[in-house]
Amino acid sequence: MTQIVPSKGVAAFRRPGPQLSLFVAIAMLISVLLLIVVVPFLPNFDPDKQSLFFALEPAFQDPDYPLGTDALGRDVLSRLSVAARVSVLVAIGAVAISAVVGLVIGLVAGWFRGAVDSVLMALGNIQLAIPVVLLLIVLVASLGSSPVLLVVLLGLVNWVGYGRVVRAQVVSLREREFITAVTTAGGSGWWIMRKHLLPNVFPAVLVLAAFDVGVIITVESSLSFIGLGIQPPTPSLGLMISEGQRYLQTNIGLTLLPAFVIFLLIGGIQFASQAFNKTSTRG
Amino acid sequence: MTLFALSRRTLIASTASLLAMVAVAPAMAQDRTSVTAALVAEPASLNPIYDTGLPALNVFYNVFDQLAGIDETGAVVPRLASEWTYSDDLRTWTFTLRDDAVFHDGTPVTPQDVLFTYETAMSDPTSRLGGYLSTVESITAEGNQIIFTLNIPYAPFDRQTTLVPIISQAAIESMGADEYARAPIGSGPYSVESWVNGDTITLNRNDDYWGDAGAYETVIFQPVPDETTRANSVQSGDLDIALLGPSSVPAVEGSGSVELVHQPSNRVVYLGYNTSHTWLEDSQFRQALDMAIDRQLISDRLLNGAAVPASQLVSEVSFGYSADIAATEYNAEEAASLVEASGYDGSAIPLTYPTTGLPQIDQVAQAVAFFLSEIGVNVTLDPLEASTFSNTWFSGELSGLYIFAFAPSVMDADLPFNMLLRSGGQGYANNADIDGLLDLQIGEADPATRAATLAEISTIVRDETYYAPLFVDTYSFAVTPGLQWSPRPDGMIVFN
Repeated sequence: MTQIVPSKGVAAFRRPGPQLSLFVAIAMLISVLLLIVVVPFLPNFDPDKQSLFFALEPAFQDPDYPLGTDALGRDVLSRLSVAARVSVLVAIGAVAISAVVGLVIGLVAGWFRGAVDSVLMALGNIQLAIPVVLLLIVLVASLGSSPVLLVVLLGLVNWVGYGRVVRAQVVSLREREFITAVTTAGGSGWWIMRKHLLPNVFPAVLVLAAFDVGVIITVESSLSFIGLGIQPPTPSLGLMISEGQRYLQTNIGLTLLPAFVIFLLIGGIQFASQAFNKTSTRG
Repeated sequence: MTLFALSRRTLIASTASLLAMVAVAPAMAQDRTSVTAALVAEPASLNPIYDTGLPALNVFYNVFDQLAGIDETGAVVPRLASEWTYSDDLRTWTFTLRDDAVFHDGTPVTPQDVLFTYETAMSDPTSRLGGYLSTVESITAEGNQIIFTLNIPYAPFDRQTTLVPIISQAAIESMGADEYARAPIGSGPYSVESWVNGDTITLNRNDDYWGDAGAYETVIFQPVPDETTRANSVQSGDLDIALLGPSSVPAVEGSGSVELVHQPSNRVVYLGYNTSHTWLEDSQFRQALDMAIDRQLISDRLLNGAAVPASQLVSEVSFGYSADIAATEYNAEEAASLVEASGYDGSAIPLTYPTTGLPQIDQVAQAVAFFLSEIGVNVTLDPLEASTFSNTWFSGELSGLYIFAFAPSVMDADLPFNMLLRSGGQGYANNADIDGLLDLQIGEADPATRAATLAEISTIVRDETYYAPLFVDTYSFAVTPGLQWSPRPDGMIVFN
């Protein structure tokens, strides 16, 4: 998707240096990682066990339920752990699909130019004209919802950014001397794309993908929030917020906790990429 | 320092105005002329022939008259018809039209309007009322009497007429159907002033109404589908009456700014079984599932007590309810041993439910699935969008377990029993004894005998566990203090 570049106005403010923001970002991501990896090994881990007797316990009161329980008496900490895992896996899967699709389309369009390029880029423009969330709502509502399908759909509607970046790079690379050398030496188009272009565009795709994980997590949470993403009883961050909404006035933690995990995830990714951006442009 | 003085002055000023408002509030409640009530959805049409949904029916109860009405106890009472008689064979029903009823445009309600309404309702292919009137063979008018001839003896026919609001033939012909569907002319206690799509339906009091006059000059109905929004709007004063979801009740109660009114409803939420499913075919297995669900716990802890464990497919307010049948007791051990005896192999059984329309349905479905998993039955949740669900339900294509509800507006067991229990209907009982009893009760003129027959059907349903009735809903309304209004078991918001 779009790359966030700090504007001059923002840069004029006094901001923490790259070291600090990188440190904060890493701390945020590590805390999510701990939530995903360590919590399942805790003795009371069970995201599905209901005990209606203990429904809606607030956080930080009962050592058995450190972050309280939801309306069905399920342990919020366990559910957050699984939800974060689901969100991250869905996002990584979807980003991998869009990166691969975008990479292939961008390489082909940039190398062959002409009619192939026009058609592929027109396709991309048509898809960009339709809001992604709206498109996903239509697709999920008509095709049904399963985690695998969700990954595929999220991946397929999101290739255009990759396609464009890769194409732009290929268009400039193909005019360079080393490519001309390979062409004169008799290298086929397929060979050049695989051996010479791919390694050169790959870093850009990786950076874009790191950004995109955060974006996809928000999109997946939005879909789950409106009931079209991950289906109960599998927890998902968006779904947990949606379920917690009913208890906003009595148990605000049910909404705040999953929202905070989303903040940690996306904030961590954004801060990290910003810090990375700053260091790399400075050097 | 200046800043402090300023803020203190502002504070005093705002406190003073707040006090003034508090002092005025009770007076305002006395002289209040308008009231704003929430509908849970927006009607599709205000022509009663083409929309029979509960939100539309709620508007119709204020704007139109039916031949007979349902009162707040669930009894059938005269409305546009001052009285009615039926022949011994229950096939000829004669309604006498009252002579003082006028439409909002000043023209009297004539037998011709009643004929026009029923004939349109029965013959128009897009009519939503046709299904309710399949028993009507012919209808004629003699003087101020309307005579229905039915094709079968039909004991609760008077209740059936409460579903048909009488429209004005002259008005619909002069206005055209489209215009009439937006601002219909009825004869009820309120007339429609305007309908702004997606926003408000504004009604004015009909001062020429023959019956109890409307309590407020203006009634505004506002469609607010979201439970949480309804709860917040009533607390902020944007709404005066709103139906709450069970989960909103504690927060609204705690705020203390509005009154809470609870009303046991006519709606029964049930767990259905497709009896042709490999495992659900076995009545012992169905019984095990029935016993595995702790209804009281779900009601107390998840639904904040806003539900009463149900014993049968109709609630206490409906005719045909049997007080002799008790709700199934929770017994996980016996349920587990019944499941074991059935030879169940652990294969997954789908549990289908509509995603909206029932209180906390997603959570109730998850709780039910969990209780079933506790006795070793593997259930997969299959939520369907509400309209897809009701189509699937209607065509009898739900494959395993399902959760749904029935709230008969006519407050009579005949309608739900015919749909849910008769062979070839929307249920999966396929029991010849039940079919026979259904035929017997419909031709029974004596109410006591008819009630006994309906109770007998409920007993068979319980013994064979064709359904696991879960809860009778309690409707909880948040109401601005001092409002002149009382709830009805059908959840309709009516102001006269």
